[in-house]
Amino acid sequence: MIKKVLFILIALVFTFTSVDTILAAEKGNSRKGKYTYRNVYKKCHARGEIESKKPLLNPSAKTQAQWKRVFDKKKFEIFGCKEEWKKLSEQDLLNIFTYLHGHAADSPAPAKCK
Amino acid sequence: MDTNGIINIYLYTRYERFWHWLQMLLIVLLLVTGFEVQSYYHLLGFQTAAKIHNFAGITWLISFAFFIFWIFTTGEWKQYIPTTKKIFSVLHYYAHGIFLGEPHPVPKRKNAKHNPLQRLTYLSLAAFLLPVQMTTGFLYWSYNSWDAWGMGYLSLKATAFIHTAGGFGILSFIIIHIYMTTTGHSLFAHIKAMITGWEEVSKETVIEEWEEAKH
Amino acid sequence: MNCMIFQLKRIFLFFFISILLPFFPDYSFASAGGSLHQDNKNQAPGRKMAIQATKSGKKWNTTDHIKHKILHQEFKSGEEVTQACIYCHSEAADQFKKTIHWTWTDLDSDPENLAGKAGFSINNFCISTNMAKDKSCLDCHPGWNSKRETINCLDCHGQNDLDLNEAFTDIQGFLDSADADSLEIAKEIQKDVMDAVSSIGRPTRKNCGSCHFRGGGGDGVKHGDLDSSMAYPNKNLDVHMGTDGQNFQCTRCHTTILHNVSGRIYSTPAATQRKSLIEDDSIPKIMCESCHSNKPHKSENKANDHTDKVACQSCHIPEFARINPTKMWWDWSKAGKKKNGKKYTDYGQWHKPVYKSIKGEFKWEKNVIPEYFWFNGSMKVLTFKDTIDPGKTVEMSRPLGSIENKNSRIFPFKIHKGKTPYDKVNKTMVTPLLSEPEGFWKTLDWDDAIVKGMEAVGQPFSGEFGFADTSYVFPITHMVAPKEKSLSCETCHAKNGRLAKLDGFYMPGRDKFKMLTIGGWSLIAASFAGIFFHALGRFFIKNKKKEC
Repeated sequence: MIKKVLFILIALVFTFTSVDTILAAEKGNSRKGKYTYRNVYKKCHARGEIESKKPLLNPSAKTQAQWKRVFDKKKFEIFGCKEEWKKLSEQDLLNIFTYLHGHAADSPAPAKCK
Repeated sequence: MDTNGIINIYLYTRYERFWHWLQMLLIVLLLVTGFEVQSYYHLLGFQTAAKIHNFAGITWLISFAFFIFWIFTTGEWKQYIPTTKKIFSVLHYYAHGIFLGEPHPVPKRKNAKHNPLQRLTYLSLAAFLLPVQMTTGFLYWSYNSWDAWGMGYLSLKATAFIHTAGGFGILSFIIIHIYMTTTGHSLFAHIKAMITGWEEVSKETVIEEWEEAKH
Repeated sequence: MNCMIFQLKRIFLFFFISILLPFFPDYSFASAGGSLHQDNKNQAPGRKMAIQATKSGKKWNTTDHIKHKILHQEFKSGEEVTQACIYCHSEAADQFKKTIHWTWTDLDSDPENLAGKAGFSINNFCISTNMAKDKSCLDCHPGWNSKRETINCLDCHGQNDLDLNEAFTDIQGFLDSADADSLEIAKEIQKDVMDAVSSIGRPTRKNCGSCHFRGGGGDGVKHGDLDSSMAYPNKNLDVHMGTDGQNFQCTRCHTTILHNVSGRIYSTPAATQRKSLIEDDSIPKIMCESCHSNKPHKSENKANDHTDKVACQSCHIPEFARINPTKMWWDWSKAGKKKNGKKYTDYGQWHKPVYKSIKGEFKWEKNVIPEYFWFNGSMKVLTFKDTIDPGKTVEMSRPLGSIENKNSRIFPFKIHKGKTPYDKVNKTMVTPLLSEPEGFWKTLDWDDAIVKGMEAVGQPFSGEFGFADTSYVFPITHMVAPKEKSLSCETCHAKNGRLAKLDGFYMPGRDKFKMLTIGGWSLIAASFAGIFFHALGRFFIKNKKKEC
């Protein structure tokens, strides 16, 4: 009896913490996303695939809706540097999305990479 | 030999002829470039026109000095002494008599190459218009040195005005002068004389024996 | 007789040649540009002097900042960086804080009518910084985080591209998050910062240009002769700064002493004397004469006779904005329109904005021909206290000088025109707040923005505003073209040349005398008419006689 209750309790706790984590993950860390995004190109440049460390696409290159579509459909070819992009985790991608989305062309703070 | 009462006399010396034609060349250059500098038309461009004008102007200034020397040392200055004697008969001739084929009231002689009208005209030119032109031209050319020479009070505008006015005067003179050379016994007789030095005059004029052309 | 004639011929020939010969060397039909083959013997004196004055281009350093331990910190803020700089460069901060680059005011101007961006000066671009209360203007102020508190030495001396303000904001953000990933990223950024902080040098065109190319809100908006094309120009764009030539940095001419950068400051001219370094080696190199002397052309070149009245820049900068376009017109009165309820931007030629809801209508131009004015080195710049006459174009800045003034020379200028708001009742220009949360760029509400803006500067506002025609001038002194491209005489000495509008003096080739022209050519026409009719008369009467 006690074992059953304990099992259910642990399961519930597990579910809730997971849910919490998932909920937290839906809003990624924009600042982390910025640096992860830049890192992709830093490594890609060090490898020699691209000429400059500057990211290929600025956040202001697309509207928020367009970024959403890119990340929903996982159309990451537009970013280039396939090798580095493959190595990114779900969390990394979420962070990058938050950053790009937050500074998109129609956002309140459209940004360009310097 | 006198054919139809016309004989040749030696009127214009080498230097005189050389000076006349040099002057012509320089004046033509000066007029053409001068009016271009005044922007009445565009031929060579302002810079080239100005350069040629300066060169011709200074050349003429120096050559004119030689002319002054010559005119006094040879006594030729006497040819320019103005006189009012017969001036009206000359004017009357050109306004009236010439159309009727009358003879010129003051034919050329060695010691009187210029008729009274010419004397007046050439003296005004040599003693007034040309010196004024040369002075204003020289001042215009040396504009940047005025301050250093203590002449900062001069006005470039006035200098330019007088110099341009003089230019018009000289151009007008040349038009009439060239036309007047055709009033000899033949159209080009006077021009020929200014090239060869020998002028054809009528026999009635008093000619020294040594002047006669020996053939 | 023949012998004498022959002798005479020789004498005449001799005289003839001797008259003409001295003038031949004087006489080159070559263009103003001069010969293409420049050997040492044939160089213009100005070129020779300049080469001498700038012979050793190499500056020698006594330090490599990478080796200084004090710069190997894990900096958490810009202020910490500056503290490290000042640890060795102890006097730099005090020096710099006294200069206009920090104060943004001209301390030599009348304190009741203080000139300067942080003072009362206004223009027809973004109008005013509202005494530095309009924060976006402070983006260009050399302090950390656009605050007027601690100097950011790296704005001028940093040779690394890293955006340090952003880096420090992010470092703080990551340190605050305190999770492992964040801390790691913070450490990485700090490493980048350390690299940036050790990359120190004398200011380059890029350093100065980071602000001076972008004045007025974008690349090439304001000056016309300063934009991003001047970061790495070639000799064709600027003979002094061309990377394929002398590669001068700004400070080469803008001599800096105790952090005081030489150059014109509102009414204070760049230099009061035009001497060469040979005459006085302690003068700043800001004037052309310093290196080139005041008779720099070859002796036969008439241009040497112009240097007292015509500035070098007039002939040697034929056009400005030769690579990137510059803004020539800014009509504020058109601002405020929306598309579908949103602010918008319209782009035109060269992908430059021609309309912005927040700013109004713009016009851009490239290869602009300057306008010329008498200039003695000082400008009169309007302040928001000055009374204006809105019936005429309000000259928000204009060059001072006149032909009578011995120090004045004809100088090229860019004129930026526009429509700028003014107080209809008080007859002064108004200074709307622009970038703040209550600024016009946010609200698109003129009344509110002007009220708040005038409050910020302590000036009265009647409530009634209009838009006046305005102009603002910039002296054109950069983008010096190669000598082959310098203006020919005809460009100005012509009827409708570049100096057509400059009156008050007689100029050969440009000015004519109306009465004399009419009178003179009439005389010539009359002469022709006279000889024509006279000849006609002689011709007919001669024929008539023959018939008889």
